[in-house]
Amino acid sequence: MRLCGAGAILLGSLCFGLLLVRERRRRLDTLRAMEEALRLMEGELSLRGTALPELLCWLSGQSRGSTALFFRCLTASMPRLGEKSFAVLWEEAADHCLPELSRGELDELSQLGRTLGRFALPEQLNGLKSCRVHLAARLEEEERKYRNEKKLTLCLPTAAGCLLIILLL
Amino acid sequence: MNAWQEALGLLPEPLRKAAQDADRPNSEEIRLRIGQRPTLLEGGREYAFYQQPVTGEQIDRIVEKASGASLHAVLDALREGYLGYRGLRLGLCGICTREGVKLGGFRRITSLAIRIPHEVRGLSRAWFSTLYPGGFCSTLVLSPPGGGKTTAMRDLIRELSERGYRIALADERGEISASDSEGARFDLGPHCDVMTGLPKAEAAALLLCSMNPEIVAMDEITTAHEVEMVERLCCSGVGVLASCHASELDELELHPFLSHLAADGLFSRALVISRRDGKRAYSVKRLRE
Repeated sequence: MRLCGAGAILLGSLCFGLLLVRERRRRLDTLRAMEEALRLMEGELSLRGTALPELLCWLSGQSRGSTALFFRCLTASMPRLGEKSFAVLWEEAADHCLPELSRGELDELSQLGRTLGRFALPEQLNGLKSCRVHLAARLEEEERKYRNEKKLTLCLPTAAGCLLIILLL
Repeated sequence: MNAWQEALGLLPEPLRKAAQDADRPNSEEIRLRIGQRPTLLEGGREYAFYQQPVTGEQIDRIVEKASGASLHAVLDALREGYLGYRGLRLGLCGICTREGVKLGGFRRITSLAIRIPHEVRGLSRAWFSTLYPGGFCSTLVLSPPGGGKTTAMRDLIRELSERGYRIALADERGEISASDSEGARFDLGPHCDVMTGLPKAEAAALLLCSMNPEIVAMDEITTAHEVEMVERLCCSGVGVLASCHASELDELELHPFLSHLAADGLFSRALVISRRDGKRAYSVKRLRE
């Protein structure tokens, strides 16, 4: 019975560690996908001056994970333009579909939402670039942290589980 | 296409409901001016449909919706003072920025006129045989602004197209055809090719070379360059169907460029649209045999 309990604690703490690692990986994927999407957006806007509804629809097919969901959600909410401003729709979609991003990153995206479609193209491109550079810096930092702390994130809960088992036994 | 419903869809909620309740689906325009009550234009008169004055935010919302929140994609139209939205045309007015002597954009849009196009099928039947007793000949359609030129042109084009004429339409603002990526939203018959988004003189020149038309149609001839193009078309072996702003032929003769159109024998017929007792009246004038 004791052995079974110890096994359960060990398994639980190992799963907790894996969950933490997975969460960090998902956050990295989202940051990477969003940075790529903003790069595509920059290219499309500077080359073709594509209208946002068309661009968002295209991006929802090009992106992946939460970022694709964000663009799909935004595309679906575009008919509500007129009731709500684009900036509000953008912010709502970001809050709803990108839970992996931190408050600071969401604020940076909101700032971009207030620029898109509202100003001349050079200003929009500047806004896009600034947001993309910010996200790229965060991505780099997160990747470095992930590499350094991956084993620690996995081992720490397991070690805590082992400690608990020793204490209980 | 239900232009009235499309126009209602553009309005923010309290205005939409009030316009719907006003129940004037034959309105020609919805007019919004900051600080004034919104109105519906019908039969030459404006009727207020909501008691509260229009706010700047409401105008911004409408413009944002009409442009798909993409002002950069509609900049060319904006610089011409209008926006197109699903076959509707929104006339813009406000505090402008300049690029040289031309309109660069709007710092603040203070007035909007949402023009609601109407498709009146069969409108031209009453005067078609008087206008063309022996087949099509170049025709000028005249009326003051908002007089019904575009509606008359649309039905005339459809009728001619259904009778087998190959028509090339230079529809710069997409007002006649209400074209989008799925083609013309209004029925222009089986033999009509539409070019939109390009200045009409340039579009007409391209259509003449590329589409082998029998008739080239252009709405609202206003500039000397467009008159020049009409002159060129008339000497190119194609028929021309064009419209311009004037109440009468006499008025046209006073115009610095348009006077050539009637005087130089370019057109054979003129269709003059006037308003009598709030209703439109159509009269056919022969300019040459």
